[in-house]
Amino acid sequence: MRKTIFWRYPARLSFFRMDDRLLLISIGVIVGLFSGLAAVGLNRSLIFMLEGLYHLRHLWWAFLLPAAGAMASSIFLEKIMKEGAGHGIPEVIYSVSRYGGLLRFRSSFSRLISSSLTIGSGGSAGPEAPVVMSGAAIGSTIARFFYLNDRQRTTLVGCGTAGAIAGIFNAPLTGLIFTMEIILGEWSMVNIIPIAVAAVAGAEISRILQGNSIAFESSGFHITGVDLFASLGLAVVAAFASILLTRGLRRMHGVSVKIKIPMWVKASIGGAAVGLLGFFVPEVLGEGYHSIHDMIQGVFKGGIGIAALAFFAKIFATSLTLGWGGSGGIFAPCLVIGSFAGLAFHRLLAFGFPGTPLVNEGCFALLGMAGLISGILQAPLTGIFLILEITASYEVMLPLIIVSVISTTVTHYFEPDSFYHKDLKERGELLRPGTDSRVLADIGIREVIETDCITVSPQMLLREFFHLLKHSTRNYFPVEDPETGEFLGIVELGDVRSYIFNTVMYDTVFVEQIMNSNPDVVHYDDNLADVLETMDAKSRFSMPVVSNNRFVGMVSKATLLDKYRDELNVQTSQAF
Amino acid sequence: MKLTIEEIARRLDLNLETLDRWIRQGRIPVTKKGNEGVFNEPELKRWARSHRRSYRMSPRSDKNEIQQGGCVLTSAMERGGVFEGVQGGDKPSVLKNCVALVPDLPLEFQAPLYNQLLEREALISTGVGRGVAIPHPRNPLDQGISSPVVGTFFLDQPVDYEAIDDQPVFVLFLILSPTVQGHLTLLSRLSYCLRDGTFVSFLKKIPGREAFLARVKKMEKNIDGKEK
Repeated sequence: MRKTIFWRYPARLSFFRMDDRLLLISIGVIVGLFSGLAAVGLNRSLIFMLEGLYHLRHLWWAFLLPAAGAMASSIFLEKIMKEGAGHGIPEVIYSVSRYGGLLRFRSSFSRLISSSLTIGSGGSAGPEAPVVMSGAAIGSTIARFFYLNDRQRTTLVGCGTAGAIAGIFNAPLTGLIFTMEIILGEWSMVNIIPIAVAAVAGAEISRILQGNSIAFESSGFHITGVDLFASLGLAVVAAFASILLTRGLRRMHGVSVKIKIPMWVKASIGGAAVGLLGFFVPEVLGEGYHSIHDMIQGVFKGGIGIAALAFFAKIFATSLTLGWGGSGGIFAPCLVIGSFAGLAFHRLLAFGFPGTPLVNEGCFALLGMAGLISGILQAPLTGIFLILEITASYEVMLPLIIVSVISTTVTHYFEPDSFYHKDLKERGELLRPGTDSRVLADIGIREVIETDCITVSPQMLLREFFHLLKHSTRNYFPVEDPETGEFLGIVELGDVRSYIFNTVMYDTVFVEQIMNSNPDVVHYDDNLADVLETMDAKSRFSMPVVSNNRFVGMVSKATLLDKYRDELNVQTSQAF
Repeated sequence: MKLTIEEIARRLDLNLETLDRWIRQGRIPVTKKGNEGVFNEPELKRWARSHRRSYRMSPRSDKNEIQQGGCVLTSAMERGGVFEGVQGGDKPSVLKNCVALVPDLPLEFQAPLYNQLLEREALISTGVGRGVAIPHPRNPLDQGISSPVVGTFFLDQPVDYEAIDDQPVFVLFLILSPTVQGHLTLLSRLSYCLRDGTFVSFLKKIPGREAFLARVKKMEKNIDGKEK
């Protein structure tokens, strides 16, 4: 029996226990393959939905299609899968930082289905975030299957996201960079290698199944100094578009939270609104990759007015879809909005400065995409590499970097946090590796408690107390009720120091007269960061821990420093 | 290698909860199997070194045992030995002979120890009166001995020791300890015994090793009982 299940415990082999890099790389390949498959699966089902619904698009009631899709996806997520709406990436990040990347198995397919319903029916959202969620859940599930520990599981969750991004965009480098910059938040050698391998596996499986195609093939851009100068302006436009989209999404979400109607009704209202919008501006529907394609090729019809209108309409539609409970990500909408912004900006320049030798508008659409991704996600590298890989145009590298970096910086002034991190940060749940909050979040009260305190009874005379003092090593003496064992208060050495040489008081003062009967106490499940805050506020160095009205020990800053250093050491060291 | 989680926590001097969490999080090269941790010993030692921890090999450390258990003085005296008829006409020669008799003291540490004892005597004599002297070095011995030792030396003939009561000394207790704490404990216990007049007159009769140690043990048990 044991022999047959042995292969499920690879981490127990002494070879892998010492150095698990090979193990992680080989399991990373499996994870990458599966998440690449998930990406291909979502892609196929989106195409299937689009083709199936194509002949209905021109009917008068077609605006109800996004409503039905959003409603179905909302009902599916909420009632059948019992998961929250939204794109899921904050959940992945939180799980990585708090629970070692523990995700539910059902997350590996739930978002795929719900987002294909939302997007396939015309909702304005992207398939990337759902696929990232699936990839992460696949990584987590496979890690659990092999009984790996938290650190290894986190790496595999990273492998899953990298494989998913690599698979859906056919962009392995972007998968790697996105995972490092957004999901894990640390660049460590032990992580990079398995994740890179998984990204390759994810990209390869999608190439095998769908062919090695560049999503928005483009070439022949001749960048001149004027373009570099113009890209500065584009960066600022992209930054403001990012801010607009971030605020729009949040505002819309805020509005929808206030309305007390079932989630699926909200989702269908949002969907219907998007459908109506789609009547006038058909570009806003779906993931919108078709219009990006047109813009980059430079064959987008419509003047500056149409482009600007589409730009705002897409922001509005995306806010409606995602804010009102549809399921999907913001990656694809960002790309669409970015390319509209780039196009509009280019046309504005061409209109304002006729005769200036600018590169063609496709290049600006491309730069706009990078600017939006970098701004919204606060991830310049992800923006640069994504655009580089999905357009395969290396010649735009210089303006690409300029736009990404400046857009990130300008957006940062107004929206200091990435769209994915904002909610987490507001809840104090963004715990990046190696930071103070992460170290404190990991240490539990039980780990820093000191139990070698001598308890005293309230009826004890000062003389007896001083006799006890001789044999004690601590400065705090908890007072307990001798019968019930209840915690009554605490005597601090500092409280009695002035009486030590006053022999008259020895037999006249009882412990209960000198104890502090209302000290601030700590409970087992308290957060260490909060405890420290209380200590700082009250300028205390120790606090008693009380559980069920009984004294169990002390928490002191001195011991905490020791534990804190150990924890920081252990968390920041690379592997073993 | 396989040990219980509690044992590993003890060896690494880690909190049990912390160790448990570190194993779960994969921050320490130990895997868990039921309540047992599986690890490779050299690997774990290397890990401990690089993480500011020490890995204790032996199941129990000796030092703590001596300090915690009772009868500290008696066991130190047992290790130090009881010698009768120690030769010497004056203080330096007596001390020199005593140092040579200390059991298990490597030869190269004898001369430094002798010099340290003379230095100490130059400050103020260790003759505490009633014919008893307790020579000891000023600083704890960090080399040569691993645990506290008290050597008992009955002299062949009493010598002038410049004692506080000017009486010639007939017995020496040489106190050697690797720690200050151990030294103070031994000193306080020995002086407690010497305060007892009957004990000093018992010493004057130069009892045999067994009788002497039995008497000290009895008195020390008395002290242990009081402390508790």
